[in-house]
Amino acid sequence: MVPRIPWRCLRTPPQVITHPLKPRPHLHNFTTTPPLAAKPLKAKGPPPGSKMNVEKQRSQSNKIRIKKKPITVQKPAYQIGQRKELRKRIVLSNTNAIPVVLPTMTADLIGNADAAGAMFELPSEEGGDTIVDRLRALEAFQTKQHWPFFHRPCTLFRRETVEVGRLLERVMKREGTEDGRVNERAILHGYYGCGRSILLLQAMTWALQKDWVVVAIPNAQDLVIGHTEYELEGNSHLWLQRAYTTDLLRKILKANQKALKRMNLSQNYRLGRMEEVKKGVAMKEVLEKAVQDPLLAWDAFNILLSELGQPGSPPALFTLDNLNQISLPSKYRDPSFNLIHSHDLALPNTFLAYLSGKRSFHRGVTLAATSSKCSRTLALDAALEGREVDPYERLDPRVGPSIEGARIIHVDSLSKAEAKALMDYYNESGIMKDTVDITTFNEKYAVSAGNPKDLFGTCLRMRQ
Amino acid sequence: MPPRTIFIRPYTLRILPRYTSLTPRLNLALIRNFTSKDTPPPIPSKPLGPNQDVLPHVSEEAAITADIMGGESPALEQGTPIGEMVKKDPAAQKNAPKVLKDIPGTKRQYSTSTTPIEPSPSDIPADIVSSTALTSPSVSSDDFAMTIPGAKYPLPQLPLPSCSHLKHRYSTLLEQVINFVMIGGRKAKAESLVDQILANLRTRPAPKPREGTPLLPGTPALSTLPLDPVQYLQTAIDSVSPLVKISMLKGAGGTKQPVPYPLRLRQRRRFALTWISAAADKKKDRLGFAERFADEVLAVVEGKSSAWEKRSQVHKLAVVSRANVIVNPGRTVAPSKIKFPVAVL
Repeated sequence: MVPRIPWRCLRTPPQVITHPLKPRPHLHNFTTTPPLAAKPLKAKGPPPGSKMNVEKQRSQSNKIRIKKKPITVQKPAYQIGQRKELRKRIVLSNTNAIPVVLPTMTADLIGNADAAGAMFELPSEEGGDTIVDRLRALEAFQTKQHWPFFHRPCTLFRRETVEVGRLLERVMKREGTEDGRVNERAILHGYYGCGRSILLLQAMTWALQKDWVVVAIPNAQDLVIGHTEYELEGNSHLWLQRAYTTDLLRKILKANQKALKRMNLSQNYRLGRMEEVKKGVAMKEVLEKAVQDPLLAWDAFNILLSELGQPGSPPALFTLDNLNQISLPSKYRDPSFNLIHSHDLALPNTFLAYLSGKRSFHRGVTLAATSSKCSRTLALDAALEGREVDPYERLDPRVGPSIEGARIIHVDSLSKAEAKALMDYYNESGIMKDTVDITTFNEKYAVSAGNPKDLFGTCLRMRQ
Repeated sequence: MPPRTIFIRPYTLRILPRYTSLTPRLNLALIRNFTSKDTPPPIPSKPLGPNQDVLPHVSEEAAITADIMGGESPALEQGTPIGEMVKKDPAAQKNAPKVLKDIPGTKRQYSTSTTPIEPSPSDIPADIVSSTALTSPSVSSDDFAMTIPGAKYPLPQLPLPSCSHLKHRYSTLLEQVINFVMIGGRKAKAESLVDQILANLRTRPAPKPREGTPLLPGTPALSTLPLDPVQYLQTAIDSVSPLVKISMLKGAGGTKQPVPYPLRLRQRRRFALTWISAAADKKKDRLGFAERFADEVLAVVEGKSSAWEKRSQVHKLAVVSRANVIVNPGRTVAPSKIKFPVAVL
């Protein structure tokens, strides 16, 4: 049964009983009493009997609370290209090091086996530009090759240097023959830090002294990492890198002024869409024009190469460092977003054509050096070893034929005589403190296993 | 006055004095009382046999006698055969040993010497040592590949140098700098940074000496420092390192007392490193850590760094509050154990 007393009656009555129809009394949420009328609040503090100074205490407590912001020094931002410049800066001398008197690496030493195992300094004096400046223009010197520790750039004459010299020698000696078309192709291959790039540098030194035309691609990685502009050329289905080619031409022009001035065109050529260069114009002028305009660069480069193939042209040295980089797919993409094979890029394609003998100079040497700072290139390794490829190994079929027929020069570790010469040089330069006696020598040679890079580290670093 | 104790004190029971060892202590300098002070005591190179070192050689003795008497001395280089001496001297003939009388002028075929004969130094190949000569272009002979016959490497020289211990191979200073530079346990990274610092010190122009820079006494010429970067770093760090640290002790009435405490070598170096790297981090140019640090090391050696001010501040406060020094604390270093940077490399 439902109780008669409704539940509502049991609830507590509201504070103000209002009639629903009467207006409610106005309730304020705040007081309208003037603030001065109220008594001031007492500050929280010690009881009135204590002797503590309230003001002092407050100031002290404030001091603790406020945290000073650490003073940050605003450092100026980098300029565009400043970091790259810092990274790529090459210092070739150290005034602190003791100068060492060494014979100069002259062109008479090409292929001289007796000189192997001694240090030579790079030639310094010459009219106008020095060889060192021209090598620098070709970017033959690299960072991390320990140039900044020594007074002057000097190199070690090695057994491999003799072999490289023989290549140049063979090209030079056949000058008198009737069909004087000589081409030497070689790849420098070896372990990390074994001095392949230095061998390229030595070859360039000699070639520049003999007034050859030196074309050097200092680092093939720049061509494939997608940092330069590229565009498809319709006829050859190759991808041109015009900006890079312009840079390359600038380097060639700077390094080979003398040889290019003497070269005259043997026929008329088209340069770009509109222009034409006539027979008898100096090669230097063509290149100077092309350096100004990237649209002409590729044509000018082709003119240079085809002129070097004509009889009567000066000998040429075409080098490329880090061959491994162009045996991998590049970072460039075609319009259908497929990766472009490195061999489809125009510059690597041209170099590999010379290396594999598809194209040739009238007299010339093509040199490539492999690199250890690269991801694995199994196809190139197989080709360098010359072994049969297992059909189940999925290797890049284009890499093998690209280096076909090139001589492979194995760059080995240093012999004891060479290591001794190098260590004596370190000692005489004053940067290696230990005397080179038999114990030290054996120790350092054993630790570095004759590797020139490690030998430097063993001799110079405080902790190995 | 307290009464004299009749107990036997422990030291009276000792048979020997405290520091006496059982073997008699021979002081060579005290024994030779008839030689002059100028001549050093003879250093015996080998253990002497009973018959050795009795008297000088006959001809030497004759030479000394001749010197004193003013006569003509025999030629020392050639030596005098004993037979000749005996022939000249009738007294010697009488007293000569029997062996000499029996077979005069003959030589024994065998040796009576008990000490082993050392090989002459000419056996060691001379050309392996010539290392620092100017290299000639023709280094064809592989002389340097030669080692001592029969053994691959020569015996090590004893005592072994301090760096031969596996775990303490490197200079203590470098170890400390590496550990100071290290962040988050990345030691290899720290090592390569320190290598970069040293390489930077090598290639930077040599510091210019500035007057009034209190570098350590015994510092080599500043122009030679870049060729020895560890020495360079050490000169900088040990020169700015403070001798004391100030710690504030609570005094009476809410005051604080500055109390200077002496520091050990490692602690001093740590202070110096902290100051140098703090000054390096305040540089305005954008530089890598190694460059910044090397710059600051150069500034320290040239006397321009702000680390010098911090050092002098600490030292001044230490001098002012020298009255507060706790002379015999439980935890600080005994004065005899304080190492000075000069002595330690």
